[in-house]
Amino acid sequence: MKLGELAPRDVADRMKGQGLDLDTGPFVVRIETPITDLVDEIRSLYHDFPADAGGGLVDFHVAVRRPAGPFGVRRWLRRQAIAYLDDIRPFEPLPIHMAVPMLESSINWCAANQTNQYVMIHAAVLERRGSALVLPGITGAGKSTLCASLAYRGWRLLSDEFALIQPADGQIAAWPRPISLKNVSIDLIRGWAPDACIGKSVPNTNKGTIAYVRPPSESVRRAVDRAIPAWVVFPTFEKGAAGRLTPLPKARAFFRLADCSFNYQALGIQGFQTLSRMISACNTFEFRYSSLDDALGLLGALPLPSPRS
Amino acid sequence: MDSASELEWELAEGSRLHWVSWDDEYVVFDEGSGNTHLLDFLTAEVLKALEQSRGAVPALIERVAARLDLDPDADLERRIREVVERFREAGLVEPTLS
Repeated sequence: MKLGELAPRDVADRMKGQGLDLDTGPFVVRIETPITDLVDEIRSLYHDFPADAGGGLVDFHVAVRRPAGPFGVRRWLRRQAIAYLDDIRPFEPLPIHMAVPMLESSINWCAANQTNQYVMIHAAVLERRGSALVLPGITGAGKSTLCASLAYRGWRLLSDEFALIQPADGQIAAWPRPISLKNVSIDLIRGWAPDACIGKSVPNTNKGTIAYVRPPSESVRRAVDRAIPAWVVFPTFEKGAAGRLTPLPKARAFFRLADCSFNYQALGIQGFQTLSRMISACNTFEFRYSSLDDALGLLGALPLPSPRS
Repeated sequence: MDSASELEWELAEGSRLHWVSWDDEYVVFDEGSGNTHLLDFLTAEVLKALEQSRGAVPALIERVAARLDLDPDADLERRIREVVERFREAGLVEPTLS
């Protein structure tokens, strides 16, 4: 059953108790939290994901709780949230209004640190007609803005944050979790995709104001469908720039992709072989843009790679 | 070039190279160190020559010049000496002990 089809009270009770299991595609995440506002946001953002009453196999267990201070003083003087990933506590406590980014960061942390079945790249991935567009990028490059804009205009969302490349066949697995927007991009996407469900804005994070976009229902429904990488495009948002795609030599693209990987070094020869096969099979570009309309047109017209390019 | 006083160079112990090339650039993964290197055409030829067999710089110059149809002149010698030094700094090659 989808999370959004469960009674809100049941979801809250399960999350306050032993946790509720969300099938996010490649990973089942058990979420446990007593924080009511966080439960409401999870119900909205993960509305279309299959939810399980629990008891099955779980990949990650994330608990977001209020820390208990001495005599409860800290808890009430400054309301905070803290994430526990099984027995690990990778982050410092944060103000309770940052519980959603804390949850999302915790799930990302689990994938980046506890799994190695994929070569993982920090990248947005979208698909059209079976071909995947990989948008690697550092924070601020405009990756998530592009990702949200394409995901609501004809492209299927595979992921906003992780390109999960299967070493065996080079295909990319989908992990279509909520898209993280920052600062001015939030209103930009509200205007670009009025039907998109965007969660509450969270101010004063280390990246400024953050809001998450619910992934399109069709992308969630097709979360088991993999895609074949066809284009690796390194985006840069540049105010006032005309949209421009510039071919990027493949050896340079290889290194930039490896730099964006969470586990290239850890995987050794498997990482090298997987990334080199992927670069060989893709067309590689740098992309400067300022207008989403330009981006939609240019990326939509990308030529498919020739079989041996 | 006086080969008698030259050190001989070989791949560092444990190195095992995996190559991929696109256009005139090469990416080489060294399974021994876990490091990945970006090489241009000439640099790649020097490393390939050392991967095939160890040798002193004068011999390397002869082999690379013949392979690339270049004159084994002073400019090529300077460039190859720089390349070998960069390989040494990167831990790709080491002088032979014998």
